[in-house]
Amino acid sequence: MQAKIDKMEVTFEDQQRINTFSRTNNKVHDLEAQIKAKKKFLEDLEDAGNELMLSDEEVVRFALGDCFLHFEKDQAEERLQTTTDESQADVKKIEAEISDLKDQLKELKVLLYAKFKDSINLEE
Amino acid sequence: MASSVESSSSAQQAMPVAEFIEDIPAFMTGKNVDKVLNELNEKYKALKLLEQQMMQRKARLMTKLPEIQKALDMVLKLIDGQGMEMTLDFELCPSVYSKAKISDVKSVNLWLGAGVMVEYELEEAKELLETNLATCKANLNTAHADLAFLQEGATTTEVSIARIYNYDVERRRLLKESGQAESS
Repeated sequence: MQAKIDKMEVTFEDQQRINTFSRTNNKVHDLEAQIKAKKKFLEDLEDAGNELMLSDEEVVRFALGDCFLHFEKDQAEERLQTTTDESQADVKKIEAEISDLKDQLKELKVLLYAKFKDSINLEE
Repeated sequence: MASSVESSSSAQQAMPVAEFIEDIPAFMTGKNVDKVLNELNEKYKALKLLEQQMMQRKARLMTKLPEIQKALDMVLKLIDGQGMEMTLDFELCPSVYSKAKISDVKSVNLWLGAGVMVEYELEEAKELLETNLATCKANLNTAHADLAFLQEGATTTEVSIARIYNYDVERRRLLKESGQAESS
């Protein structure tokens, strides 16, 4: 009696799906690294804001490029707030994008596992 | 600082194309399995190498980008502060800063690389830096697209190798069984 082996036919569509999965997965990793860096930056900005509130000095040195510009305390606070707001907006945008891409990955996983079961590995 | 925009299509044309094999048995008729697998493995290695180079290019561009941004920010601040006096601490040497008073800034010196520094008027400097920033971002996008193309090629080649190997295993199994059936 002949044992029946499941002959797995890979169609062009399957190949496209696998490629899309790989591409999207890489993009998610990229974006997650970006978010980590931006969140660290936000933390630093918050620390700076706290220090600023506690300090008594009139002249604050604000980093711009490789130099430090002298600002008055109020101007420095304003500038800090603007930078913080911009960074937070960026983080929100990237988080939304990551969420979308992760949904796409889930869909592709369902489709590919349904066809290939154990013959394919789609984990990190 | 000045860099040229490479067109993605020309870069992608120079890369080995990984074609998807629709029908494995038809593709394999008259071909030696080991030879085909060797060819595909070679292709795969070449693609992986190109992928590495592309990732390095991407990393270089990603470090360049914040530098250009910093320079641009500084020039913009100088343009803003026209007619006002600014005090700042600048880096004399690592970890040593010195105070400087700037007023009435008309021009800046931009480092163009290769030991060359050119004096620009503020507005010209702003335009040059903005152009460089845009070019850098465009190059980064191109590198990204090329990287994706290479990774797809590598994935397609991996899948092809797996399929041909499975096809060969199946073929040998059938041959063995039909050989046994004949002899029994």
